[in-house]
Amino acid sequence: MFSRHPHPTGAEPRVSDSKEFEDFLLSHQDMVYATAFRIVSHESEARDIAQESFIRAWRHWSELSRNPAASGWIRTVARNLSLNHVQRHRARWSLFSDLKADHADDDAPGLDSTFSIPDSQLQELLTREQREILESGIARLPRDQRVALVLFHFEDLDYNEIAHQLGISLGKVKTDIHRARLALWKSLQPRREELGI
Amino acid sequence: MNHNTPENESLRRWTQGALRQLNGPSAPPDFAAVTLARIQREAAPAWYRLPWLQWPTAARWSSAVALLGFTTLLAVAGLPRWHDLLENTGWIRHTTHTFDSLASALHTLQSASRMTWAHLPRSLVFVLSLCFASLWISTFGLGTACWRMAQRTRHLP
Repeated sequence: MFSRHPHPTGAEPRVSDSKEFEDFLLSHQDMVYATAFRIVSHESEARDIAQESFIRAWRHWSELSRNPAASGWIRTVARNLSLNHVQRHRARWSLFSDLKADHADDDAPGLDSTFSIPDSQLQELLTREQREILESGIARLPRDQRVALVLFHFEDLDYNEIAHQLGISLGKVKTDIHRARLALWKSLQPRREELGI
Repeated sequence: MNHNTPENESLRRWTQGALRQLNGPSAPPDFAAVTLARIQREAAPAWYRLPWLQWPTAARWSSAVALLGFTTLLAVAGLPRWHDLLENTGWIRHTTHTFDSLASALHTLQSASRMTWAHLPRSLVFVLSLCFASLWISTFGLGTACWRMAQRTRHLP
């Protein structure tokens, strides 16, 4: 599909690259899009970020095509682009509200609410409806909570890495993730009560 | 706030288990096609959008000759002589009827330009020619090419 014009990085793409790249794109598009969407929680922005990730992959295709870590590479690119996007947005619009929230987190009442999850529910298999509730619950979370939760549970970063990536304190990361988990847990409660679980 | 309570640990485990069961949103159906088209556009821009040094050889030579010829005509022959040149070129003069109207327009232009030419100092004409040539050069990307060459030279050890 691609013509043999000089590659932006200076390396000549090979003729066979186009088919390999298309296969790579088709097999990774859902993963890359999902990574972006979960962080930015906006369809067209996630789409732009996913496209940008693949464009960068194409620019480095001469090295990536032979690299078994290409999946991880593009996922990291998508994640970093999404975080950049979120942080740009945050810096632009929400400086004061976030500063306020930073201080408010330390002494927020009722966060450490004690409740116990029955062992039977720790491994519960979610119904399709519950999965949909959870997906929309993630999308509805406040941005800071959503991003921290996604980085921890989907991107497998630890608390320190998240704090470093987002440029916030470790305490705020833990609080945001805890609040997000609590919100998700509670979002399924009405359905559980209906089912008598 | 203490995050290391058994309740928090059970909540963490529940969340981990529940989120693992989510499939995640799929890319839009046209995502691959749109992305490939965008990459195609970026990977293969039209030749005239590339730096001059990367133009096809024929286009590079033609543009260089055109640039040289045009600048020479402008600087040496001067604007009024163009019309004479065109008018004396047989195949242009006798081609079509449409050319007559063009010739008439050129004639008017000739009169105006002759009058202007007679009053313009030669030095000003020369400066204007140089300005026009610079504009022409930058339009053709030669300026970019020279700048890149200069940058490359500057970074050499």
